[in-house]
Amino acid sequence: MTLNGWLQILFFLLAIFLVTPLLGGYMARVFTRRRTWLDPVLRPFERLVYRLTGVDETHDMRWTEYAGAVLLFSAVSMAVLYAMQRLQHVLPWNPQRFGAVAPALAFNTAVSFTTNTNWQAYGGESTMSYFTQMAGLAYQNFMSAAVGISVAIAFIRGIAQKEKDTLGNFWVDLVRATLRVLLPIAIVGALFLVSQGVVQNLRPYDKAALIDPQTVTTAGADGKPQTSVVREQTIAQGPVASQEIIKQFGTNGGGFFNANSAHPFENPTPLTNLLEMFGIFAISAGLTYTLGSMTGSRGHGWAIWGAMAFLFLAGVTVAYWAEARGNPMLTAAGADQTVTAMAPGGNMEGKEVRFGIANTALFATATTDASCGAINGWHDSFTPLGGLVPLANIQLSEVVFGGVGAGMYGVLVYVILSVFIAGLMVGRTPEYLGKKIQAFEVQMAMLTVLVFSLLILTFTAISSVAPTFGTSSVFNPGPHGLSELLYAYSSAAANNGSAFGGISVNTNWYNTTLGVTMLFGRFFMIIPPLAIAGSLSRKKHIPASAGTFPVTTPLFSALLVGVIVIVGALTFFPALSLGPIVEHFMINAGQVF
Amino acid sequence: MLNGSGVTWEARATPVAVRRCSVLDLLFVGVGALFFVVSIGYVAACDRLMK
Repeated sequence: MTLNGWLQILFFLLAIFLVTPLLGGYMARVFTRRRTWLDPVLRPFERLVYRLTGVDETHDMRWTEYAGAVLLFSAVSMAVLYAMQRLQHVLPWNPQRFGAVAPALAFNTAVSFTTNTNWQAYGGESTMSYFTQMAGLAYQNFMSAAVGISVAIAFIRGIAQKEKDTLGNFWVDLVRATLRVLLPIAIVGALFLVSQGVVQNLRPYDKAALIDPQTVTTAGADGKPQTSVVREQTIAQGPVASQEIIKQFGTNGGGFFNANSAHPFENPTPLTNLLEMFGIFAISAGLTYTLGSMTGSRGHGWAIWGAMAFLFLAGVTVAYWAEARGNPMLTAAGADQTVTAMAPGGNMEGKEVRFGIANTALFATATTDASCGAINGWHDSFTPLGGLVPLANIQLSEVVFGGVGAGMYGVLVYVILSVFIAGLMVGRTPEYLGKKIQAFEVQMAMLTVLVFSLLILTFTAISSVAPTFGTSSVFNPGPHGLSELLYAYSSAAANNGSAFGGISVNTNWYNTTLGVTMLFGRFFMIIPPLAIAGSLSRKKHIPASAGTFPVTTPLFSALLVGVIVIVGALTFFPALSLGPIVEHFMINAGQVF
Repeated sequence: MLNGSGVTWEARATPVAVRRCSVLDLLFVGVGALFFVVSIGYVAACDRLMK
């Protein structure tokens, strides 16, 4: 580890700290329908959208109606995206003349982008037309993020309101999140990315003649080796910047190119790398301030922010240390992995030399703390402990800042559990910001937690013992192969979308089961929190007393961290011990997989 | 050296296969629809538990 690396990590956290009140305060104004400085420009557009769609912005919804609207909107969006992929060969803006996407892959991708997962079982530049990328995938990047923000805001309203049966209007929240939060950021950010070299065009792909032609041997149709000489390279183009910016700020993660943020047309400079990492946390961090602002307890928002920042720092420290330490087998073989003026040292396999170890460890930690899933390095090539960090982050339900909105309603479920446990400790009915936490809220919180682990462990177990459709797609044997399977289903269930790699997932089994996992991981983790919000909203406000557990103190932050870690550890430690943990001990003993 | 705009790519020469709606299409649309129906049921079940 180097001082330079740590300074960059701390600068990143400082930037997130500074943007939290700015963005959080702005979002609080937007969702409490107070005037903002963008009103003169955006309010006419907003009114036009309501008029065209017939939305009554004064109508408030019960939690069931709100949840129904979320489901209806997502179902229609998913169906349209599926149809768009299946029909892309007859739709415009397809200069490469890509054919229709296969049904299983189209299903997986439609689910993936609708659920804010952005798991990609395809290479963007070799599968999707510009029309599908723009009107299908980039559109969903906005909409799925806006759905997440809307649900989080509904949850916050449920906590803040007193004796009210409604949570707001989903359609209004959706429009406001898109028009007033995501679009302004995306427009400014995309222009910045273009200024740094991210491409934005609708041209057919370029070709470059190779100075040094390469002789390549591949297997022919008859299985026999065939040798050919490659004399030119195809250079993919496209409307990248407009998709890249929302991919990061919407914590979507689905890259225009297969190499994602390691591709120089997606992430060309250290400055774009910083912006892309900043984008992953910015809105989610801001929502902690929005929570404090809307509930009248800013201290509570900061207490949650503190717990998240602690977990983030713990994760990035382990990942950075493990990657900077390098591969012990190379050390044993006599390789020098120390940092010098000419060498980055450590484990550079799978890392972009432009970003190095600190920025790759930071990116990997941030993208899995949140439900982003963008990558600027290959997680499969991390050391076992370095790879454990992104995997464990995902399995903590991605509540360390988390996905836009999803991180907020996810952490609020843990807050409910923390307050409940604190209440049990002192023998009083637990209260949370003046609301009694009773059996129903805890039942819903537990449903959220249990669905998540059930999905991951069940499908991983089936895939790891099925040689015909499960393990046949896994490239690495032993614990590393199990890590790859565990990561895939964890990523799908948590709607992260990053891949550990090492599995050929474009098969009917993986496309279908990962698709189903993403659906349950999204909507069965949205419905219980909305039910909690609906229940809390109806309750009377109870003034704080001597027996009330304060939720604005470092003690509360520590309890929240403890609950998140203990629930995650109890659920996933056995599986992790068979994957990256045993791999760590075996690599030290001289065996790799 | 870049060839610039107007170049063709290998896929351009590949005849586009116009695929008709397949059984798999119906299956996946059905799976998606079933999921959302189940989800509506889940909402109703949670609401009933609340009351």
